[in-house]
Amino acid sequence: MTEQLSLWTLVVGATVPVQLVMLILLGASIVSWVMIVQRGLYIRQTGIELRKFEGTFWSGVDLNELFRSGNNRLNKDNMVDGVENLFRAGFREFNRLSQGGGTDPDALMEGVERAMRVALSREEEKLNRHLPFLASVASVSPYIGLFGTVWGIMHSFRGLANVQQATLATVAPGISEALIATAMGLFAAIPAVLAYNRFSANADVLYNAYETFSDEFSSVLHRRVHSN
Amino acid sequence: MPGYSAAIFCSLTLHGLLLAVVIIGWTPSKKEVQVRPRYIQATLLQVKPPKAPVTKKQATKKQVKPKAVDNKQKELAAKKRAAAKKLEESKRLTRLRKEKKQKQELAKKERLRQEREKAAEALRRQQEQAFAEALDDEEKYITAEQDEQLIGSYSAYIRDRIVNNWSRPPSARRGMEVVLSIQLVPTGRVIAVAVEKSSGNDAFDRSAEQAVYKVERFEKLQDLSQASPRVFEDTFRHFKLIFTPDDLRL
Repeated sequence: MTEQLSLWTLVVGATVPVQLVMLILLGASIVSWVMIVQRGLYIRQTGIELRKFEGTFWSGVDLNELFRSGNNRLNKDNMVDGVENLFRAGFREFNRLSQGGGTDPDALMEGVERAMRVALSREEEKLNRHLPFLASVASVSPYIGLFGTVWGIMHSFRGLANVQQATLATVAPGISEALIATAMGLFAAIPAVLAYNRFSANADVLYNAYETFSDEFSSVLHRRVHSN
Repeated sequence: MPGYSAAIFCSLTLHGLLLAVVIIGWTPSKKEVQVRPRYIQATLLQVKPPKAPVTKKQATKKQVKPKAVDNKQKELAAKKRAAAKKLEESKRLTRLRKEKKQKQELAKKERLRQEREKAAEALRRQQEQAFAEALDDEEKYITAEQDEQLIGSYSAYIRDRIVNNWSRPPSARRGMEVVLSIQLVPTGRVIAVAVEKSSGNDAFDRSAEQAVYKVERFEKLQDLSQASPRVFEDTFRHFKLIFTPDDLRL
């Protein structure tokens, strides 16, 4: 061993199970980073949209107008997301039921609330999408890395059994290569843990905001039904 | 769902960068260890021999020109010429004598000078020799010191090996001492062991002998015999070992 070992030669020289473990961890890391970035963008955007929509909603704009502008955006292939979906679901149901005529106001309100509850649960699902994957990467990948390490160390010690004179130099490369697996596991797990905690907290906040909005909107509609 | 392509791009870039760093940039820092010698080696660079005495002297002086005597009268001329001739003759003689004397003096001086030069030369040579001897002595001293260190470390190594291979017989007691005479070949292999002076306890003697045989070969001595065969030949081909293990508890 005259030349210094580089990290890459260690990875290439590792045994097959350890290499497999490394590959799995690399894949998990890549996918979890895809999700981290995508979640970050999505949650940031929905937060912005929520503030914008609430601003326009409480500015006293005509609700029909608001609904129509949403329709326009849908026609132009723009996604309508988050709190606006709640509004649209509730308003559509309200219009449909009140256009039928002769509906009992309580039944009407009940229908509106049901429609909004469905929309709310759909939005919640959107907010929490991919978070379970991040959670499982965060909790499992250290174990996978540890498995790779244990396997590698087992292997290098078994090789040691046949050697007459055991020196540190005979085991050191094996142990070093095995430890890379743990390092990779931690590398995949740490960002996933951080992202999971952050995004689930953000999703909770957003969900609460949606719930509040749907209550407020149904109270607005309630007022309108009973004032007529 | 916005931003999947952006997310994929970000993630792949990040991991690509990481891999690139791992493949190219990761070199463990090398730390050079400098071994400092324990002695100070001082060498005298120049010794000025005393200057040879300056012996250049004005070798010859200009000789006095003979005076030409001029006689005006012709009558007187002959007479005077004779007289002058005589005078001249005598003058010439004295001059010759003077010259001879001078020459002798010069030769004497020359001889003296040469003698002095010779003496100075001898002195200088003597000094140079003394200096060379001093240098030699110094070198010898240094090598002796080095040898001593070498011998010390190798004897410690030999002692270690033997003690590690020694199994203590139950009858061994503190203070037992056996002198072994060991014979090695330059590869470090043991070719003969004999008990030179017994400890009085046969089992102990035998165990010490067995320990040496069990070592079979002192691997490091091969390095020594390659590096400085002289030290090996002088010290380790035949040597006596006083075997007194001091880790005995009894």
